[in-house]
Amino acid sequence: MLADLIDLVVQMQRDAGRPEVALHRRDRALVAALRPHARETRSLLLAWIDALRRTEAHLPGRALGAIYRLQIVILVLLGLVAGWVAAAAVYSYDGSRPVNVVQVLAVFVGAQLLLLLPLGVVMLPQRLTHLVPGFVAVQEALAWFSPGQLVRLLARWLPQGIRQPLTSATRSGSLQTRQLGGVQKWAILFPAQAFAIAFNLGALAGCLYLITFSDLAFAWSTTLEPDPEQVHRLTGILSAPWARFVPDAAPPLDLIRETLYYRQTGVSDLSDPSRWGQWWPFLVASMITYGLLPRLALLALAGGQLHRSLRRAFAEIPGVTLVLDRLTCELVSTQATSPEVPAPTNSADQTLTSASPTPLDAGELTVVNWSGLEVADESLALQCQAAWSRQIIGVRHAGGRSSISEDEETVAALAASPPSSGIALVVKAWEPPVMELIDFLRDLRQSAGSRRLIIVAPTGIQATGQLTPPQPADLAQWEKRLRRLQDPALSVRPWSQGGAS
Amino acid sequence: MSEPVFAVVGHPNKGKSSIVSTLASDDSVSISPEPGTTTRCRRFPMTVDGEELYALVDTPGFQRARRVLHWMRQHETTADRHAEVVRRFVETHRGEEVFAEECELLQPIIDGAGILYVVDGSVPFGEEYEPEMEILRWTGQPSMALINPIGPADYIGPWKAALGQYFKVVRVFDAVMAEFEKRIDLLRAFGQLQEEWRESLERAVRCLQHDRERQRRFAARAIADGLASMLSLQVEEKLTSRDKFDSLRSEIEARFQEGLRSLEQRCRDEVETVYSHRRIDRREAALTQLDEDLFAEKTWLVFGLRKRELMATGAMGGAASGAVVDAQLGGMSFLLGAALGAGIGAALGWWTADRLVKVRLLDIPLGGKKLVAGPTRNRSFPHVVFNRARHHHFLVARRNHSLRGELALSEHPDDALPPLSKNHRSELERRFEQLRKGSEGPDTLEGLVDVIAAVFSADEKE
Repeated sequence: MLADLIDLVVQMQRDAGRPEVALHRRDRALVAALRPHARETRSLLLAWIDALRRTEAHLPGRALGAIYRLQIVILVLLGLVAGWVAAAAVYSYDGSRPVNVVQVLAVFVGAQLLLLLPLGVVMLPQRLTHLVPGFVAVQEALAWFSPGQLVRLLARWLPQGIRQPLTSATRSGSLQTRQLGGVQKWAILFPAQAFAIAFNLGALAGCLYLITFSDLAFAWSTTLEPDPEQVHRLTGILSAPWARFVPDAAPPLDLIRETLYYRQTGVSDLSDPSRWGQWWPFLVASMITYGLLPRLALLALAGGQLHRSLRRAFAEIPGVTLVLDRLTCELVSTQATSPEVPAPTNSADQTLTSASPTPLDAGELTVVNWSGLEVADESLALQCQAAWSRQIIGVRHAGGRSSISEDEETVAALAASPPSSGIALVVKAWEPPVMELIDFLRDLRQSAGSRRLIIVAPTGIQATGQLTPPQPADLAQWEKRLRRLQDPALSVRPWSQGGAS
Repeated sequence: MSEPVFAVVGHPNKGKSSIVSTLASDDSVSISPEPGTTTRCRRFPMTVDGEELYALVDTPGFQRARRVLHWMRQHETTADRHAEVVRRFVETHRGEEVFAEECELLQPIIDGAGILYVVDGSVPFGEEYEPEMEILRWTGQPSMALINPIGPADYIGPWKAALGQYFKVVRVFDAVMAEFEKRIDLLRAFGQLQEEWRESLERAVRCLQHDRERQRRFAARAIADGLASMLSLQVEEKLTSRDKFDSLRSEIEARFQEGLRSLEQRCRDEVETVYSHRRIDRREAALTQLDEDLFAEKTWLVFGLRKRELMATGAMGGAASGAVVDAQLGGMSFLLGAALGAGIGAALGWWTADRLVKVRLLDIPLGGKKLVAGPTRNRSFPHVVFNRARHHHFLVARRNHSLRGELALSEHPDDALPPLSKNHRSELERRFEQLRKGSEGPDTLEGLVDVIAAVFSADEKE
């Protein structure tokens, strides 16, 4: 799971700068392939990481996981060697001086129990250490002495391709780093316990080897000159856990008395040399009980905590909810899949400038109500006459509800009107100039000749039928569109009540 | 059965593209006052994980409706064959320039698309619309009329009367102003047009609603991340013997402020991207008026909290911390912790109201000195940043994609925003306090995302 977590962190780091929509699309495609077996959060993330390993560039998790396991194996081997060497040194016996029981207990029981103390401090949860000022610093300092730090040291020698993504993902100060802190702590403490167990096993093996293949003599000696009865009480306390099951491993008082060793005189003359070897069951039982068993328990604890912290990191690492959202939320798209085809630009729009309205040199006008502007013919004629000060000789209708043939008749009639008269189309300014009107104007021009004045008058209208000036934006559209016809005798003349335009 | 397709048709320049842009949340649609901007059909499929649930088709406007109807009438046989005549028209004139728009817009309809006929309710009904509606009636396809008032909705009544003669369903839909729920209602109404379409559209509605929640949450996350980054921002520079203290101090102050602004702008961009807005021209005071705006006391008063409120929120945070102490002592402190915490919090709230950034001169472990700006400990800073972000989100989440023009962020967002509920306010304060103290653990950030998303959800209901 450590490998999966590393890959999760590295992948989130890689995804950080990528567009969210693209990531969503990628992840939903991956999820589609995972259905329906991955539903639970962690399984979903694991399946996601697994799928990404096949599609993404190299993810270092598995390689790092293998290296981590290799490092544990190296630590175990080192521990075995160190334990054997320590046992060989402490149980060293050349016949000149017996093995000192006090020394054995000091190294394999006392020192190991003492080492458990800082380890206990390091293992304390953060919520407790935060309560005591300075405790965190102590904890961090002590952690540096853990043999598990060897993992960190060895990690520096990893190939760049593996080390780089990991260091960038876990750079100091990042949120991930803080969350990974718990994992890191137990990932270091776990191999430390493996090392300690290997050390104890190595020491036990060395000890048993020497006991089996050589004739060891044990005695106890100390300048403190304790009373043998006090020593017996101490050994009684130490052997309490196993005394009932293995009585031979609890040294009796007479053994203690008989194996007291003095530098000058050696052991007592009354001592039976066959008893000098009877200390070993006690020593082996002590090494197992106070050296090996606590470490086995701590290994189980560290392993359990590592597993728990990994599970927790999977659920809580910053950014993981974003990944889960992508994995679980459907990818909804409503946008167009193809770009818009740009509207054709008309060169006349750029080249033609807005011409000033052609003077109304026509003496008379025929008015065309285009598309059913809601005003009575008489009213329209009067308003046009008033606005333009010209004689209105007729009002006709085109567009709108008129049929195509009626329009054709209107064009013919207009063409037949006196050549000196003009034609004014009054149009709804708010409606855009559609091609039907353009067709009508072209037909009209063709029939009426190129010189006949044609006016297009965009207008607004009130509910009373009173014509009003058009909105400037509407007028601009009309002018722009009709300019494209490039007809010099066609004029756009916005409705103006005063007739000034 | 193929998924429903809706062709959005109508007279030129009556808001067809606006409707499509809003319903498809796509701001790439050209919307122009100039008629004839849309010359080709454009498809907007609504897909869920690649599966299409429905599609909208933006079409060009009618240009020669009377001529088309004239041709159809000339080729009319019996009423039951009207649709066949329309199909024959398209087949006969496909490729001809004269009926290019009509063939283009009728093609999806003869292929089975439903009709959304769009008119502008701000201008009077006119007889030039009748041929268009008649042609659409001839197609025999399920249809709905949408009155989209581009200006003041003065002519809704006459339009309804006229459209009612041609369409079974007539609805008013303001493409620019319609809120998310109105868009959803409209989609549901599409489902009423034909029984087979209902299931697909209901599913589309559910997916869009889920997606809306996702968007809110993504936006909330962007804002929470931005806030956390702004609150932990630190700028430092080594002081060399040649450096002048004052000039370096103002330089790193400026860098710090620039850092804050750039984080805030990134957060804005992310929120806009979440809501598929890619073309917003944003105008926000902080961009140009930094000294008088984001960091000045008056801004705290405008965007954040008044000093009295600062005291209140400070007290709330302090009391919360004190209460934790009380809880740990099993209540043996007789709630003195909460009372004391409230007092200290209130005082801190008051004293630190105006200090955004302190520049400190620190020793470097191996010799030398450095100037360090940030992180800010100003109590109201997260409130200010959040209020600005909330205002921006409020506008962006409601902004329809057919709306063009700048997004102006008010200097007084509190006037434009609904008041925060008491629960949201105290929860925000708690999370801000955690962030200010640098404990931006996953719980804090996710908790902040939750409360911001809840605020946004409440905002949407306003």
